[in-house]
Amino acid sequence: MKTLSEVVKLEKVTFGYDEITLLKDVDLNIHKGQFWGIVGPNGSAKSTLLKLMLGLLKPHSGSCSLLGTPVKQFRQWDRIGYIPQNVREFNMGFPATVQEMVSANLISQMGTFKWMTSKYRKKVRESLQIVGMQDYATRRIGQLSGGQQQRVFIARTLVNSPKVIFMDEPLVGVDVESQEKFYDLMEKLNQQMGITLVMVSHDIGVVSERTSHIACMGKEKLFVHDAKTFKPEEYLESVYGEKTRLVHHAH
Amino acid sequence: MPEILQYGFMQRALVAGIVVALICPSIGIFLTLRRLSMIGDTLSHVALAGVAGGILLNFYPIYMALLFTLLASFGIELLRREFHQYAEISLAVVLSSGIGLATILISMGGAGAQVFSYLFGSVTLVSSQDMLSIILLGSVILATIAFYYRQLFYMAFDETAARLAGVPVKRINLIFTILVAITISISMRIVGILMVSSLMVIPVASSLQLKKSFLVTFIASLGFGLLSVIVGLIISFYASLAPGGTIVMTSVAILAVVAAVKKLLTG
Repeated sequence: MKTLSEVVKLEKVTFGYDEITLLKDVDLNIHKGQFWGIVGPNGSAKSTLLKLMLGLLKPHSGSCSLLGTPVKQFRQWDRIGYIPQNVREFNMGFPATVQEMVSANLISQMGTFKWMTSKYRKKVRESLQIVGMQDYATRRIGQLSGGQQQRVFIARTLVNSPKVIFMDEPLVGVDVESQEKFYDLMEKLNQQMGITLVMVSHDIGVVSERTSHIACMGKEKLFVHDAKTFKPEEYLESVYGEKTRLVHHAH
Repeated sequence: MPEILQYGFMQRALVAGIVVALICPSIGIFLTLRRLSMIGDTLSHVALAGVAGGILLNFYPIYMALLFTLLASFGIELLRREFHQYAEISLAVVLSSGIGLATILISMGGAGAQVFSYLFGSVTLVSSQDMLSIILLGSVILATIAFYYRQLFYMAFDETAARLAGVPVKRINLIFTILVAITISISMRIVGILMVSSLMVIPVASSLQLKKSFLVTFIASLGFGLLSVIVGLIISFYASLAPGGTIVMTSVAILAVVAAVKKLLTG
């Protein structure tokens, strides 16, 4: 049944490259207001799953829909935020300021000639305020630290008042202190602003503490858990073998 | 009136030169940031085949070059799909075909001297037809770039994110490729086939040194382009040298000065 609160719906999705099947008959329902962590070891098709949800890859069989619309026909991109994995590999010398970067996402709202009016300037300011980067508006993006850049990319999605934000490994290369700030910000977006969050991560320990739902990638399958009852140790054992233990860092 | 402006041919060369100085960096900045500057080189080799073909068939060489470069740019896209893991192969194949075909056509025609003026640029040979074509097509290019400025900026930074923000990436890529082909075909009259891609890249390299916002970088690259072309044309006129060479060497000198000043200021 299709309901309005369904943000992402995957039905019997099968996908692979050449002869290797990565996902087989995978089902997943993500509802409004949830915070999902998609976890799994390297090469377990976490990013692939995210790309399927966004229609960047086409499933061999099965169907994917986004906000109730089959992803192939989906056009309301202003309601979707996406922070790709390769964002941290960008050219640090790229000549763009924080405000230029954030206003780039306004494209789908702007009229034919894409004039930057005061209404849009205000949106950019407000988005930067939410992530605490308002003082950096005229800095070049390459001058910022990894954590600051990540917040700018989140602000970039917020100019459109998205219903859902997809993030692919947003915390790789970001220091621990910034990671804490990042999760605090996620909590604000999720709980105060009601934005649904879907985040791919390999850091199972932290994800299980901070998210509401967890999808674990297994061999061609997906296992879904409520974060409250999820036991990371059991999962690690099942993936890596019995001797694996979750080490809590002393910071 | 200074002597340089008293000649009709020089007036035409300056007007055409100013248009070329504006379009080359505005296309070049997006090519450079997307690390596609080799496309400029590839298409200019194809343009040479078009010029030779045009002279041979007695058809306006600039339009013939335009036809060839447009076909070549679609060829690059097709080959890129075929060799998707080795994108540069498609450029190498098209570049080789262009220069190969050009060599055959030139040796068939005996139009060496005329081809020469397209290779290195010419001041005296800019006709009214050339000037009008350059103004007309140049305005189309500038208007299209201004219209798609935000989309091109976003795509230069991150094509996937741009697509998910609602930018019609495929369509704009196609339009942009057409713009590159037009730019090369109309710019070669002034700066020469061999140097078009330099005028696309070097003013942009100078403006990237400034480390400013994208808008400032964009405008500065137009400024550096204008300065290179105007100074280059003046030197070409008084020293009787091919304008392609003087323009490109001026732009290199500007790059050296900008880099040196930057070094002095930042220590």
